[in-house]
Amino acid sequence: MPSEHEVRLRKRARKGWQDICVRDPQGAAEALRFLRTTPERRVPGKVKKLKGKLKGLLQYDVNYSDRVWYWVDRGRNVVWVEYAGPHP
Amino acid sequence: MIKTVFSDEIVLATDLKKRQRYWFNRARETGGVTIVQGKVADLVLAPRQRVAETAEAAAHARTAAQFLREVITLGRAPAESAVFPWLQDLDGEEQQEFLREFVDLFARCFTTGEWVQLEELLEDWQATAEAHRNPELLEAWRTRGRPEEYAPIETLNAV
Repeated sequence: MPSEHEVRLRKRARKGWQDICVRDPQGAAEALRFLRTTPERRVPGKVKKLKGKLKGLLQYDVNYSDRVWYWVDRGRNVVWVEYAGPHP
Repeated sequence: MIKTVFSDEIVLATDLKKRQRYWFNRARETGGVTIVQGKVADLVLAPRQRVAETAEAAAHARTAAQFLREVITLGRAPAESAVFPWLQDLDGEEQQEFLREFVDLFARCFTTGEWVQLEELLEDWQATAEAHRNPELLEAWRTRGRPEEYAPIETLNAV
């Protein structure tokens, strides 16, 4: 069984994450559970693996408008969340 | 050029009515039988999955043909594509990378009949293009990995 990841949030993204938690607490809880357990698992329509110059960055769609962008440090088992909030 | 989609096996509508089970099984085994009613043979009895796969392949082929016509026949830059308008948010290098991956994967998926990978490719590149419109995210990505700029998500009492 894979070990759980530590999830660390960019401080500048704190407000965005808190807003998601208020708007969609269930979606936020699911997102956090996903990031902790299977952050690299492909979920059609929900998880995207960015390409080109953004290769390595993943996108999790919390709901229709809110998204979380992150990358996974496999060596340290850490998920680094770079941005959370609605798509501009 | 392949023109045969269904087998040449035909069944009269009256015979189909009499021996339904037999013809249903034949349709499953052969991939489809043509039904003749009067002098018209314009219907087919075919496995649902096969019809769905054929329709899926045709839809992807149509998209690919339209896109390749844009960039090859009409000589447009990928950024001017009407098929994938989001390509305009990628830079030139990324557009070429997309083009190479798209053509390669389309050919592979057409051979295998499995389209999931192509759909994921389109999803991923479209998400990439959208991310390029988010300056805050781009700045965060550019300056990623400085541990002092992150905090454990648990401390936010988010959930």
